[in-house]
Amino acid sequence: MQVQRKSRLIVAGLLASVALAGCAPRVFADTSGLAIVGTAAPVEAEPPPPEPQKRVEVRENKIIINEKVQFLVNSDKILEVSHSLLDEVAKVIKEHPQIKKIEVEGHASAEGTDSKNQNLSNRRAKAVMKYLTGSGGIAKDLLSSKGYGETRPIADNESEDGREKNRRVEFTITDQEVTQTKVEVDDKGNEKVVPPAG
Amino acid sequence: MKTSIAFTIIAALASGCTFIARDTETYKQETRKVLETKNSAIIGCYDSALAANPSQSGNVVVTFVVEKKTGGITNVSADPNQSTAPEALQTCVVSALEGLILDPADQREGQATFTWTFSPPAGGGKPA
Repeated sequence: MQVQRKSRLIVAGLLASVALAGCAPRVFADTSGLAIVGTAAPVEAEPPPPEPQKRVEVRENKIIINEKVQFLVNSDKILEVSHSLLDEVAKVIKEHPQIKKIEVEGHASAEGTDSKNQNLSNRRAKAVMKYLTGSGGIAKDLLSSKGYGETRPIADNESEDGREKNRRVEFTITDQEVTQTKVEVDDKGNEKVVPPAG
Repeated sequence: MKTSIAFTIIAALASGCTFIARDTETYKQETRKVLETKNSAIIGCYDSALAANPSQSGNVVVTFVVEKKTGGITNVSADPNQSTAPEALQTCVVSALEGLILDPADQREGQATFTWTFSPPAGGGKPA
């Protein structure tokens, strides 16, 4: 009888411990950590650099040079530094067969006498024409030259900066089949030549 | 007598715990696997943090309970004292873990602590 009671107590104890052990929460901590490496965000593509300004452009009735033809002081000798510019002018002329006639214009500042300026601008225009028909390979009948002296200033002759601007060579298209170039001006005043459609 | 004792034991076990019983290590590993299913969401959390600070790193220590019988991961919270990542990242990680379930469930509740460590990609994140 006593043995039976002991057995029951042992069984009850076992049941209790099994139940407790079986349902006790498991407590665990993962100390190794879940490693997360960020994904490299795509680097935003940088906007393409603005197109460098062309040195020579055809616009309406002008061949614009965005660089000056440089001469020896008081001389019609073209400095070597300007040869590549004139080579580019020749190249552009050849690329535009619609251009039939160009006048090379020489302009001077108001510094010095009128006659001297007239003479110098005339000689400089001739020198440029000579370069274009010589090294540049442009047909002679396509070009003419004229010196305007100080009669057509584009800037103030009172300042050295203005006078420097007035000393210049321009290329005016006096005859062409058709003008196909368009110039767009953005809201900042920047001009861009629009190539003809097609 | 012996038979009745056996029945009693089985009945007691059956009434209290009818689900599988994992050892602690298995419980941890299987819970970890469940958590890893949310890796992409957590990477998304971190990438957002990197957008604000390309050199952002740190850790988020998260505690939660795995419910016995259902396996539902509940009471998820970040431990602010142990976590070094910004609060927004902690919150995002906690949100990402909502609704996870350990399947099959365990007969025992799990009280878990897991740590996520965050490090920027090689070469740095998005440029400032």
